[in-house]
Amino acid sequence: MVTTLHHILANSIVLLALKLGILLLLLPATLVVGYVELKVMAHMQHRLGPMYAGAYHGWAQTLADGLKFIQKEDIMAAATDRTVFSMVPYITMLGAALTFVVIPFSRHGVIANLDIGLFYALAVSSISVIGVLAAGWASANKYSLMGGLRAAAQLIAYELPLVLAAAAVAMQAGSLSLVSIAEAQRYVPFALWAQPLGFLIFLAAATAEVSRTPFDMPVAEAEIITGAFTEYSAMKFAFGLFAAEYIAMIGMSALAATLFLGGYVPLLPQLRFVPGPVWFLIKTGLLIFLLIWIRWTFPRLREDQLQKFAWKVLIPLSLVNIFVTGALKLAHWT
Amino acid sequence: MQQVVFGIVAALIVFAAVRLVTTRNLVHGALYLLAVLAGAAILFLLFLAEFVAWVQVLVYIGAVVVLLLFGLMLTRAPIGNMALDSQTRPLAAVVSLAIFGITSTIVWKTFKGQTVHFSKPNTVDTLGRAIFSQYVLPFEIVSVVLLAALVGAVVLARKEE
Amino acid sequence: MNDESKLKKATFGTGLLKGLGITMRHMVSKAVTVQYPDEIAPLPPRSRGVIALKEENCTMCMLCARECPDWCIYIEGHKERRESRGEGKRAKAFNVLDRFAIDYALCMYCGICVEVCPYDALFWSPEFEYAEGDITRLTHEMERLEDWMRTVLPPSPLDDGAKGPEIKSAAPVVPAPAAAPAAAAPAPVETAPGPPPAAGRPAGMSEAEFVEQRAAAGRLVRQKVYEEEIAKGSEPRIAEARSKAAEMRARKATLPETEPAPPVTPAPAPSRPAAGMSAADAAAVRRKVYEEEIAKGSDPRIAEARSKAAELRARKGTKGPGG
Repeated sequence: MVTTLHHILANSIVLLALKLGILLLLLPATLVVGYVELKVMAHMQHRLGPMYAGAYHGWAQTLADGLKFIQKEDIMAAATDRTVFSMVPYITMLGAALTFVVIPFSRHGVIANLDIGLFYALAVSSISVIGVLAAGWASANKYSLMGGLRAAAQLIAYELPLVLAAAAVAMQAGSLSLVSIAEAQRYVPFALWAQPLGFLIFLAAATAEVSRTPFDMPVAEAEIITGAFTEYSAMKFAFGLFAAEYIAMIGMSALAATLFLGGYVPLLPQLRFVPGPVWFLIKTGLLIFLLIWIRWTFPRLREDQLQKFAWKVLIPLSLVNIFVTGALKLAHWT
Repeated sequence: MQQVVFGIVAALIVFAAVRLVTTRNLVHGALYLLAVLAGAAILFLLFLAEFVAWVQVLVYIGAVVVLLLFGLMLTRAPIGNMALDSQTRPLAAVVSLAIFGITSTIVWKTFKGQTVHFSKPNTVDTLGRAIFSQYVLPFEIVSVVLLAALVGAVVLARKEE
Repeated sequence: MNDESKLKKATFGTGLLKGLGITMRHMVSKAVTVQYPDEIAPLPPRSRGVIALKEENCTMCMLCARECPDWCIYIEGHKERRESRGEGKRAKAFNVLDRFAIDYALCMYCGICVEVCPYDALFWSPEFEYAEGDITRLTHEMERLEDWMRTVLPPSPLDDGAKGPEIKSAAPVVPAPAAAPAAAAPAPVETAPGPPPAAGRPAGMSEAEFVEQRAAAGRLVRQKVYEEEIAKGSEPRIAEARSKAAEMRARKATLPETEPAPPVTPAPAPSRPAAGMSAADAAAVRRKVYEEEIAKGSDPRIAEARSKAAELRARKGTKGPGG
């Protein structure tokens, strides 16, 4: 660790700064994805969506929302545990944003090409569970508490299919490093030939990890008013829930794009002139659009249906997937 | 440089551990435990055991502390401070200090003057090979124990029909 | 349990894909949103926006005020007398409208007042943008209600085969010769855009020819009315609606209904022989009855009413109650 740090610092602080700058792009990315969601949602419901903020088709809507949140009053009930309450947005943001440290935008465009990149990404996404639990408890509101417990139950239930599907990919590519996994898909992305089932499982589990419909019972907005985060207002809400959810969604989409669609690798060798990052953005964008599309099409699952789906359907399927992947690999068919 | 980071992390862990046993709020205690475990993960990173570090995060922080919090909230859900003092506090302090003294003396005397050379991070590759060749028996026994625990949990959680 | 879940899995995908297809289809088709206030969605012609008053038709019968479920119509008026037209003829009393107000804070837009008005003094208009900052300004007085008449649309043309409203006219209907419809075309638009009522078809013309003739007349009338309206400066849709209505009327040969009938001049009461007393005697009778009633202890207003009634009866020579 000492040598690595020395190496980086000696090499180029600028390079490090540029790489860390990827993290600075996360907030504007949230704004863009938020706006895209509003517009796509609206058009799927046969209406126009934001048209007013910003002169052209309401492009500044999410920006205006952010500014609105800044000037709101931060309300805390008298019985709230202030330290824990205030700590939660940091935890959720951490859990969401740390994924981006290992995601490759191009062959060398990754903040840290860890050898265990995939494992690291899955490990940090489990940090946000604590955030939800702490939020539910610190709100001094028994409904928030129940909401937090249900949310945490959903999150840990769906971690398993997520990890197992990713494990199949690691088996397929023979490495845990995300760059190696992307490179292993030089010719054909995994989703199309070796891991179609794994792709679907990962998508379902990722949607549940981000608490998006159809798995958004924990934050069912119209019903239990965002459950664990009911008592959060102003910037704690905007950052801790809103932005963290979008960043986690982008992170999961980016991860899925790298694992199953090939990340920065062009789909066809003839299209090599399109730079890697552009391919990466296209694939991630496609998956984000898929997540949004799914959100505004399907009704949400009840908590027990959700749990049944995870434990009785997804986990057996992912185990089968691992088994088949291993068998095919041994037989050198893939 | 390494010593400095180690020193800071160690200090944080000690502070969190002391607060863990002295706090009156159970959930605060769980969160201090979280801090201790996170510190341990950082220490693993310092020793170039990356995989173990992230396993620590995934399993301990992502599952064990969650389980702890679940247990707390589903059973007592303490909102506020509780009187956790027992009469044996002074005796416990003496005993723990004694254990601390003995353990640190042993460690100091055993490893004094030795240095460890880390050539490269311990990859998953070497770990995997070790598990499945050298340590396969403990691995199997651990798997059976886990299976027993899983079955036991399912049996315990079943409704009486 | 296993079979059940397997069965569910078998059909698991198709419903999902169909749903995704529906949302995708919605996404790529045009949104139906009308961006008010920059655009205004077209309202159907019979929309209930605001109620307009045509004062000349109102006779203060109070039917609208009485039938209004919310009691939001306020009417005040007084009686005036016209000069008597001759010896023995009654000085006709008629109502004069002082105040006609509709309180739109209370109005529930049920339309009962418009339906019930026997003289077509109230009309619906699709105008809806009259929100106020002060609730008292939501009571529209007579001038404002008259103003809304500008926005009233002509009635939508009747469907084919529908019988128009029956309005009986005062003058007897004369079957017009075949040349009448053509002659009616250049009739001025202001008064009655339509041929004189041609109720029956002239002899010597088959039914089909008659209908065809009326249709042709109708088309001429329509064209003429449309041009006149455009020349006057009305909006195209109003001009078109009015010309269509005129055509319908020409074809069905009913009396005009947009221009409400001018205040029905009461037919002069048939003159009676002056069997009663003279005016001076009648006045004496009046004073006598008034003093009698006051002596009896009635209310002054009742006394006055009874004395007036007695005077009238005296002049007419009719018998009162009890002779």
